[in-house]
This record gives sequence, C-alpha cells and structure tokens, in this order.
Amino acid sequence: MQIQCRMINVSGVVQGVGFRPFIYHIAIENGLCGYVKNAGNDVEIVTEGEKEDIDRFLHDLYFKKPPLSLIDQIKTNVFRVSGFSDFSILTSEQDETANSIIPPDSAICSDCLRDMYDSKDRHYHYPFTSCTNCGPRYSLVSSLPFDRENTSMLEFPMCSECSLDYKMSSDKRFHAQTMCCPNCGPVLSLTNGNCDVLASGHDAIIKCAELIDGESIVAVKGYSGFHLVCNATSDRATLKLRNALNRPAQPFAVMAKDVETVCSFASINADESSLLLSRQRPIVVLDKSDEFPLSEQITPDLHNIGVMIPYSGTHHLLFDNSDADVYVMTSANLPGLPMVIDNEEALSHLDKIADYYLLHNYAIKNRIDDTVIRIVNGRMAFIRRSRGFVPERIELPFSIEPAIGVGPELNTTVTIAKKNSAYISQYIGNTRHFETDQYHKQVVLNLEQLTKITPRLWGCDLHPEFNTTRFAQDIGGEGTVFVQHHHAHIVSLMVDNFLPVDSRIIGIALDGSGYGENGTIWGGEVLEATYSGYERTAHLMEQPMPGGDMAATYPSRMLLGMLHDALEPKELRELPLYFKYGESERDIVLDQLEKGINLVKTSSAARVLDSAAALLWISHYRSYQGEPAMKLESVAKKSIHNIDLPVVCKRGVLDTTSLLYELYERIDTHAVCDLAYSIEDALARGVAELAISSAKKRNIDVIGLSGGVAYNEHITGRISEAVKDAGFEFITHKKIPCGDGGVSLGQVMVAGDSEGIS
Amino acid sequence: MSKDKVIRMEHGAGGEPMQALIRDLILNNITNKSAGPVGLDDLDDGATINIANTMDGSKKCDEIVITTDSHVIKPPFFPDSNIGRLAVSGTVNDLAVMGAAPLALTCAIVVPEGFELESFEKIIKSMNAAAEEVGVPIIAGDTKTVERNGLDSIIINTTGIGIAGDVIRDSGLCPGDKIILTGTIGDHGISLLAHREGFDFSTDLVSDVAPLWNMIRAVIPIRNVEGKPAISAMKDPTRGGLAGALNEMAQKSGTGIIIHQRDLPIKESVSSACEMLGIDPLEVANEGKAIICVKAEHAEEALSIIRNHKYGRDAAIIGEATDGHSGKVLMKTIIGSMRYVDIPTGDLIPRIC
Ligand SMILES: [Fe+3]
Ligand SMILES: [Mg+2]
Ligand SMILES: [Zn+2]
Ligand SMILES: [Zn+2]
Repeated sequence: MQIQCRMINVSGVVQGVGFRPFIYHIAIENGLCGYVKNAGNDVEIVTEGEKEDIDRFLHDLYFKKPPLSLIDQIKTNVFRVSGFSDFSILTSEQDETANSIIPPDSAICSDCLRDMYDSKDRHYHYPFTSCTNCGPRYSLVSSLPFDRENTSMLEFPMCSECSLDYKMSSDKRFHAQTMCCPNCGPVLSLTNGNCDVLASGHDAIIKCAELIDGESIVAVKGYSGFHLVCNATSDRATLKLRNALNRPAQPFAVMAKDVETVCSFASINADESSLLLSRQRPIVVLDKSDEFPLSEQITPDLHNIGVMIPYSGTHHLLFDNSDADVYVMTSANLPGLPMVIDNEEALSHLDKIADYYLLHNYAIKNRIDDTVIRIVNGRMAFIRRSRGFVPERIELPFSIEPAIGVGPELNTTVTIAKKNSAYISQYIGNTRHFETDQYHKQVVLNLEQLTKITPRLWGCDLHPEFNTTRFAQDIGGEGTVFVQHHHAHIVSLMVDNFLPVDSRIIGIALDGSGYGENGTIWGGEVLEATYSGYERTAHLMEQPMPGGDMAATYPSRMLLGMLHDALEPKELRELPLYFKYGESERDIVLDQLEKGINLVKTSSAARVLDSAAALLWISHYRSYQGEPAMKLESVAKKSIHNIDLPVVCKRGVLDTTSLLYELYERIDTHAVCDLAYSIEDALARGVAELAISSAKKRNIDVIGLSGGVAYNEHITGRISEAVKDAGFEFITHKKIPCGDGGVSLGQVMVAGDSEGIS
Repeated sequence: MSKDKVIRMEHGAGGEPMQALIRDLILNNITNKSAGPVGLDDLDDGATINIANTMDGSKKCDEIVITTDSHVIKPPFFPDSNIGRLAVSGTVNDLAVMGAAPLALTCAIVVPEGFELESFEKIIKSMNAAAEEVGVPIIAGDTKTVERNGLDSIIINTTGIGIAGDVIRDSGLCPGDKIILTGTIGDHGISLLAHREGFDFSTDLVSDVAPLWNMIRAVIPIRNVEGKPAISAMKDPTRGGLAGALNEMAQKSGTGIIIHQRDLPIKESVSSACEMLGIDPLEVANEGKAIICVKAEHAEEALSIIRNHKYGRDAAIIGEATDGHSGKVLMKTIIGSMRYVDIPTGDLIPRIC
C-alpha cells in the first residue's frame, strides 16, 4: 500500500453551503488525512491516503455534494506526502485569483423547520434558525470568503451552545456561518410608527399576525428587504395599501400559507407547484381560479396573480398564528425607488404607508427583490431574476475579456463577466431616479468585489440619455462599447441557449422601446445577429408617437398616430377614446400629427398592443409597466373564436396601420375578447412571417425570440408554432429574463468579445 | 458635401452639437479672447472689460460689461409682444444677470425686401418702449436689406454695454445657496409655439418677454454682515429653459443643485399644454425670467423684494445648491423620489419601455 497525496481545488458555489464540513465527513469516511479550507472563494483540499480511498473520496465529492452547492470545476494535482495525522478544517485565507462566488439565499429547510417547531429544542419558535443547507446568504454577506465575520452575523457572537454545534462534526450546523439561536442571535420586534416597541420575540409574531388579520398594513423585514403585508381577503386593507403607495392598478404579489392554499384561488400544474416549493421560493405567476376568493384589488383586471409560499421562519410563524391563509406581500418601496432594507429608513420612508413594523436587528447587506417567474408554453420565463438565483454563475459558451454590462434604464440589472463566467446582478430598477442610480453604482462595486473581476470593457445602451450609459462612459472611457438594445436582447438569448462563438441566428426582439440606429425608437425588430454584430432585416412599420413618452403613457395618443393615415379626420375624431384633457387634447394630438410637431417614430411591438388596448376600450392609461398590453392579454384569454385578421408584410415591413384598421373595421361585429385575441394572433403571425422570410433569404436555420413581449403566452406560442411549421429551429429564453433584466448580459458579451477574443 | 460637414439646425439648438461648434471652430480659432476678468472662454452671459484704476486711487473700481445677441424668431409678432421688445430685453437681461446696469445699446437690423413698413415701425416702437422701461439709450445702429429669397424674416442684433460694481457670474454658486426663480416657467415658449403652429390650448397665455433690470437692481445691494454681496450667481433661463440654465450653473460652479417640483412656479395652462404636446416645461424657453442665487440667510429678503416688482410677482425659492452630486441637477418629485434633470438635447427621445 502506498500513501499518496493530492491537492484538490474546487470552484463553484462552494462557500456558505456546508462544503467544508461535507468534505470533512467524506474524508473521515474514506479514512483520509489532510485538511480543507476556503481559499479566496474556492475551496482547497489536501488529502493523504491510499489511492482507492482518494478515488472514492473524489467520487463522493462529486455525487454527494451539499444541496446548495454547485461545482464548476475540480482541479486535482499530485502533492508531496507530508504525513498528516488527522483531517482538519482550517481557517480561511485571502486569495486574489479565485473565481467562485457565494450562494444565493435559500428557504428554511425542513430540518430547521422541525427544530423551530420542537418545544424541546433551543430553536423553538426562533425564526432565524438556519443551517449549512438553508437560510440567507448573498443578502447578508459583505465580502469573501463566506465566514461569519464577513456577514451580518458578525454582530452576533455565538453562545456556548451554538459554538458547540459549530464544532460538532455530526451536527447539521457544523461550520454553519449563519447559525444562531435565541441566546445569541437576532431578535424580532414589533413597533408602531413612533418606534415604540409593542412586543418582541415570539410575542411580536403573535401580535403581528393579529394586526394583519385585522386590517392593518405591516412592514415586515425579511431576508433581503422589507415587504408591505396585509390580509389578502380584505378589500379595504388592499385598497388602503394601493392608495398609500399611489399604485392604482399595479399587481401585488401574495404569499399563501402552503401549496394547498394556493390551489384554493389559482390553478396550478406540477411544474408550477415544484417551482413554488423549490428552495429559491420565487413568486410564480399563476392563472386565477374562476371563483377567486381573494380581493379583486390584488391584480385588478388581470387573469393572473403572482404567488409565493413562506421561505423564512418568520413567514411560517406568522401563518401559524394567523387566521388569514393568504397575505398581500409587495416589496416596500416608493414608486421608482429601491426597496427599503434598513430599519430607520423603513420608519421614515414608509410612515404614510405602514401602520406597524415587524423588524429584526441584523443588517441586510445586499438588497434583493423577490424573483418572479411565469411558465410560458411549458417553459420557465424569468420576469425578474433575483432572490434565490443571484449571484449564481452563468456559464458562457466561450471565453471573453473581463467586462461589465451596465444595463438599460427601466428594469436594469448589471452583469460582470470574465472568461467563461458571467454573474448577473439582482434586479436594480429604474435608474432615471437618483436613488436607484446610486444603488446601481453600488451594485457594480459590490459585484466587482465579490467576483474579483475588474472590467476592462464597459458595455452600455445606445440611448444617449440613460444614466447607465453616462456612467459607463465616465468610468469605461476608451473601453466603452455601445450595444444596440435589441442586439443585446438577442445576444442574451444566444448565451442562454449556449450557442457557440460563430453562431448566426435570426433574432426577433419584441418590446417597448430601445434606441435604434437612426434616431428612431425600435421595438419590433428582426435581426440577423451574431455575437459581435447584427443587421436589421425586417421590422414593424414605423409609427409616430405624438409627444414621445406621452404616447406610451396614454395609448389613445399612440392609436391616433397609427390610424392617422387610414381614417378620415372625422372618423378619427369619432373614435371613443380617453384623453386626460378630453377633446381638446385629442384635437391637439391630431394637429401634432398633421404638422409633424414633437413626433418621433417607433417600430415598437408593445405600442401596437397598447393601441389595440385603447381601441378596444381595455386600457387608457399606463400606471405601471406593460399595463395596457397585460390587460389586453387578460381579455384575450377569454376568447373562444379567432378572427383571422389579414396581415400585410411588404419589403420586410409589417404594416401595423392596416392591422389596427382591420381591428377597427370589426369593432361593432365581434366580441372584444375575440378581437383582443385576434390582434395578438395577427401580430405574432406577421412577425413570424418576417422572421421566416429573413431566415430563408439568409440561409439561417435558427430563429429566436426575446424582449418583454415574449412573456405573452399566446404571442410566443403562435410565433413558435409558425416558425417550427416552416421547418426552422425555434429558441427562447431559459435562465435569463427575456425582458430588460437580460440586456446587461447581452451587453457584457458584445463588449467582452469586442476585440475578437474567443 | 457630407451631412456632417455643414451647419445643421442643431448647431444653434443649445445642445452638444452647438457646444462642439463653439468649442472647436470658434474658441479654438480666436487667439485673444479677454479684455478683463470675464472673457469669451467663460461663455457667460456677457464679458467684462478692465478699466485702469480710477483717478482717486481707491482700490475698487466698477467694471464694464459687454454682451451681444442676434435675435431671430418665427413669427416676429407673437402674443403680447414682438421681436423688437425681445431684442432689447434679451440684451438688457444678459447685462442684468451679470449685475450690470445697462449704459447703452446698439442695434443692427437685417431685413428682407418685401417686409411691411408698418410692421417694421411697430418693431422699432417696441424696442423703444422696452429701452425706456429701464432707461437705456440706443445710441448706434445699422440697417441692411437682403433679397427676399435670401432671408424670410427680420434679424435684429443688439449689443449692450453696462457697468457693474460687483460682477455676478453664472459660476458663483456655493453649496447651501438658495435658488430663486423670478416667475412662472414656459410662458414664452409655449405661447409662441401655440401661436406659430395654431394649437388651440384655449387659454390667454402670452409671452413673458420683459427687460428685468429694474427688478434685479433692487436685490443687488443686499449685503451680508461683512459687506459682501448676498447674490452669488445669476442666469436667465432662455434657450434650453430652466433645465439648461441650472445644469450650466451646476457644472460651472462645481456644485450640485436640488430643485423641488412642488415649489416650481408654473401656470396650469402651461403645464397642461406641455403635457398634451409631450414637452418638458423645464426645457421650454423663457424671456422674462431670471435665476437668482442668494446666500441662504438673505433668501427671504431677496424673495420679498423680487415679489414686489411686477415681473417678480410669482417668484419662488425653488431649490438649493448642494455639496453632493457635483455638476448634476436633481428634482425632488411630488411623489417623493429624486429625478435627474437632464441637459436638453433638443431632440425628443422616448425612454419608456
Ligand atoms: Fe427591451
Ligand atoms: Mg444669455
Ligand atoms: Zn436548515
Ligand atoms: Zn446561540
């Protein structure tokens, strides 16, 4: 028997997930000596023993790894035998060259829940119970490696019992960095707006549940930010929350006690159920049941609702003490501003909204909004990719230079990348607002620190007025790479499908708006795209937007623009449309169109759907992003009969004026829901036709779809069908949002590949 | 000739193309650009000329301020006013916001053949009335005519000479200073647009064009306990509107600016017209308004003096200069968040997704 020694380096999500204790266990099991330690953000293992034992160890390492861990790479090197007498866990050391990253937050595990409900356990009724397999991670880490002193837990030194568990190799809290108990850990407290503590610990839960059961609005501090919470069956409370937030219609998410409860108000399939139950605990967008027992104020005029189930101990305990089984649970932020994460901030910013505050006393280091996922045609579509998923590594199909994509403006994220790895940040929000712009800069810094990537190239949007663009130019200087918005969408789709470096596809980008090349605004584009460039092969007809963004806010303005050349002035004036300033505004818009004053052209797909929503009297004012098109989709869901509207495509341009005109012609003869369905259908067919003819002409066999309109199940389904029927491969998004949350990934790829390195 | 090798309308629109034209083709090609503390490179409202110390040997002497402006406006007659009143007011205001009393004006007119004599006379009478209002003589002039297809309307250039005890710059803003706006924004630009394009906003909105010296001279003497002027900076928000002027002041002064949407004086008719057209009222031109920045402790005093004047009745303190976000202008919105006030580009570029 010959003793051998190996140095094993493991990269991936290997810190804060119980990896070192796991290594300890399998080393002991296989009779090996040596040590394990965190090195930078990798894990370094030295094992000494017989060859077969080391091989078995490596097998266990790969196949028995802890649930929260993710192994990207295992490097094994022969090492000189040094005669270790045991196997030990060493303390961490700093290493600048590492390339792994901390894990995302994870819902409380069943073991910890059991402890929390065990009256004999010291974690009884203690909501911050966590172990190596569960609990907050990214939200409370300030730097690497993932050790207690680099997290919010630094403030809470372990008591003697916790220290014992920490050292006990058989305990699931062996080396758990976030471990704590009522003797040493954070505490909950319930306060009113004046900061008076009304209750603390478990009493705070009981009292809080009581208040929510009544009609109070409580700001609840969670893993990674505050939620505003109220009773979901109460119209009064929900409406009060709407008014206080100045959100007349934007859908609220709810949290239900369990999946069984979800079934009582929404229809749910197996995929959706396993998503709800996954440790990431995203908000899943579900169709409402026909009999909807909750307040209609939660998602007014929509057929669906965002639902999640409890993920923290606090959530579980609240429902245990509550009569209500469903809570409205929406991110606590003022319109346009980042979600509140700090106690003082909550008390000052939410004072006109929340009646009470359920606070805890550890600091949230990274603000992370809930993830929102919708199943579209049997596939997961990320509407927002945040808690539970960030900052997971995205593997790139080829190597790029160290680069960053700063995102667009409205639903922006940031992506940092190097070689084969990209890290997409959490949802940031609308950087038009100063506070969110500051937050954006902070996320860039944090991401640089956590990944230890120093970007050389800065990808940004072409839009000259985006603060993100200015920021990239300020810091990136010569290394700034401007990436057209829809090219970025398509490139993110190519990465998502792991297409190789020299791929060429026909990409369909359908969304609200992005700065085009000729000063017009794009949004219904067919591009022949590679990772480095694109050609616009077809698009929707360019339509005037009277007053620019005003036409996006008030869809009736957009509709007048689209029908201006198709109808007589008298007919235009007789259209039953809503204008904020009534008839005089309508006449001024017609005047603007006539004289060409303050107009800009757009080929946006979303504006076509908005216009249809206005024409069909479904939506007249956009109070949240996508409102008119979302409401149109909800009405279309009720359709039983498709009217085959004729679609006109000429020289690569889909005539959207004639599309709207066909709709106008049928208003008196068909049901609104059928008309809503038909316009979606015709738009999808037209776009598919454009893409298919581009693909044929250019001899390309893959067609893909990206952009926010791709969340529309009907439109995506119809395009997919048409493309596949024509014999082409059809690709859509998998792990990356098709909306603007994915744009930063496209930017980083184009920037990082801009010098032809692959 | 390629499109970017000739003058385009954007070269006069106040945005980046105009800045580039001034920087690259004008400032770069003129070698001797100053005759006193404020010269061409400062791109202030006017420039100053040093006069040798006065005979009596006192250290401090007044400064001569000079400014010039060519006025073109379509149409030359607009609600309540015309290009004549504008030509005098514009130049008087450029002097006034440098703290200078107008001493004299010159006037050069280029007019196309076919221009009606009656209109011509009306314009000259309006010039006279505006000049009389602030007691400034018009002492020299020049008139040229061009063929009717060489020009489609009248152009008036005025040059003004003024004198200032303490020259006030647009770059003198200090953190903490209060920002006073002397009246409602957007009246001129919106009334002109409505008149020119025939938009029916069903209001009696008129242009605000006015010479502001009499109002401004009343606040210039305000001093602090050490005898220093309380006014730190002034500017008139003409082309580029309030947004353009505030950005320029923030950049030149190296401070940040926060304004409060709630406190902005704006007529209901202007804000609804702007909303109907999709125009940001902060970017609309004014011709009878000034931005006056005052040390905080004198802000109320200055405000009440301004409000006593007929052109300052709607004056308000709209914000303050800050230490942070240097060179940037922010607006605290009515809903409570903070929005960037961008430098107007002159283009309409939607950004809503
Ligand atoms: Fe987009
Ligand atoms: Mg000026
Ligand atoms: Zn656990
Ligand atoms: Zn403890």
